[in-house]
Amino acid sequence: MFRKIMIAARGEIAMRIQRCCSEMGMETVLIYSKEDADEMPVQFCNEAVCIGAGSARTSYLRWKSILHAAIVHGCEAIHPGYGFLAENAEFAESCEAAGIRFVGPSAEIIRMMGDKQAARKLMQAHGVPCVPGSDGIVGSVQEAAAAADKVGYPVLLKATAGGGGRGMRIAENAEELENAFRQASAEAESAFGNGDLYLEKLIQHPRHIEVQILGDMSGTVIQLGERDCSMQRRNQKMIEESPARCLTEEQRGRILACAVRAAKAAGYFSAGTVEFVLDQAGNFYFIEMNTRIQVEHPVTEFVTGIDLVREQFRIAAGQKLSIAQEDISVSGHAIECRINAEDPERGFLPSPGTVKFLHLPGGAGVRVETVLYQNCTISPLYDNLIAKIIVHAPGRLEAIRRMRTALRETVIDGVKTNVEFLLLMMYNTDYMLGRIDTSFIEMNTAGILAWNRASKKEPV
Amino acid sequence: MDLNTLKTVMDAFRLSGYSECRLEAEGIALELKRTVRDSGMDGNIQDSGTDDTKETAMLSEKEASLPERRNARTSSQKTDESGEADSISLVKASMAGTFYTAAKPGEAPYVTEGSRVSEGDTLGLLEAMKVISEITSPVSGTVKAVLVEDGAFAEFDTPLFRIVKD
Repeated sequence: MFRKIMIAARGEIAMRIQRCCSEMGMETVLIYSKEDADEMPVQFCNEAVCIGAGSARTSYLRWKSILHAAIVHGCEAIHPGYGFLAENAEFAESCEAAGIRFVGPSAEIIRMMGDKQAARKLMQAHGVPCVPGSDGIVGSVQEAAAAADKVGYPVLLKATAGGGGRGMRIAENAEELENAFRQASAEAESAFGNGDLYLEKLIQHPRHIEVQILGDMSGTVIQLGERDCSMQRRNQKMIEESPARCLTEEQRGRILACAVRAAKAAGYFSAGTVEFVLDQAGNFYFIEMNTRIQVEHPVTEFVTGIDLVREQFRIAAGQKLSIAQEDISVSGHAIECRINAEDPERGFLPSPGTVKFLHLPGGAGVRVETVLYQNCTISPLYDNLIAKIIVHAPGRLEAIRRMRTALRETVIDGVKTNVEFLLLMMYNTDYMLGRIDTSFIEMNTAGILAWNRASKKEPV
Repeated sequence: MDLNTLKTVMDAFRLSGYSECRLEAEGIALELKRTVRDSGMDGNIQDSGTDDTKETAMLSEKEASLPERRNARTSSQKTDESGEADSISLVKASMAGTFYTAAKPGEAPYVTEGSRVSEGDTLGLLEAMKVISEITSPVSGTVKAVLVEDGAFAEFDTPLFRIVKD
């Protein structure tokens, strides 16, 4: 096992990794930006190295400085967390070339899964259902039109080098196709340096179902159940849970088997997630594979009892998975709410600032992942996820009740957050009945906020 | 003892594994001590957190004409920007990397204490994974101190040079 590792991450995931290392007896070296000098992980990691000013470009993405610091400080491995360098194939490659283990899959796997169109082709070749669409890149509007006619409108034009919902345009019909094609291509060119597009049928009212995968370097791949991440706003997840109650046992079995097949096709090892969309008819389709630990991993940890970050380190150190597929069982129900520093009343505008008073929930079956502390500053330069509250209970309704209790107790004064919005969601009938899809939050925000305001008025 | 011999002795000490050295010869008494970063308090010329050992050289009064080395204990200046006088320019590391005082190992350093520099002159180098960045002087003046050892790792914003502006 490694004795000294570098944490190339910030925020709650940096603390998550630090705690795992502390338990495993590994020394940690954290890299941080000057803007983050007062962050909690800087205090708790064994060593901390300042590698830049503030913006990600000048700090957390400066991988040469980061790798150099790792070498100078004698680190044997680097854990990239999520975001930033976690899916940077060049970084992964350079770490290995420098004799430092990158905690994640290989650079080739990252590269392959990062090319969305290539990943799609690989999946199709291995019998993993993909969203019906074009056979490769559509090089022109004419090719796109032919593909669209084949699968039927509405269609989605997507950047092959893309991700995060960018470089995508919807075309509802043939008339809209040309504009959608040009706009998507231009955005992709500017955001990713590659304007190539492929076309997919637009799945309407989809649910987002993903499967947690673990693989070791001896070729064993297992699944740790699925997560329902349909509660999203602008392609950003807000609430995630496991298991996905919308699935029948039969559907679940097929999705899980498919995910393992997909991961094996990629020769996957370390922790990863295979993402699917589920349409209203109950068909599911592969969309992409995330080759890193994810924000919502604690949901799976709660229902399976497996420490995923620990497994990542074990796998990276060349060890076999500590459990076999037949030993994985999913028990109870877990829900995660992402707490963001944003103002739902003002279009979820980011709300950086100082946390003047902080009280976080606790108790049985409640897990909080955060680096907040009283009087800490939330920077405008980074992602505004400031805490994760995850609950676990024997059943879904009990989990919802537990989350209501936890959210009601949460106090984060000084900045605006979505805590109250999430609490309202925990009482929303449609959410409770599972009558939701990925457009639910956006379609219902105005109504929910209006109801909230009305409920606070004095009775006449 | 002339300055060159003194320099040779100090270099030899720096490269050795010894933590202390006391030398009495030719009319001077020389004491050299090595302090490790996390003992924290003593004799650190700057508080940047570089992880290499630093040396303090204390000369006895016997040879008063030798130039006095900078020592944070004897000097009253603070090393953060707010403590710097207007006449001083503090040059900090623009990236994290290994600091080099010369263009190549073994060559003479770009500058030493007392060197005169013009705005834009190269003071030293920062290197990370073979990417080399030149540290240039933002002002014209005289180098008052070189604050980090050649070959030491410097975090972002570590003070590297103190320059007295013209």
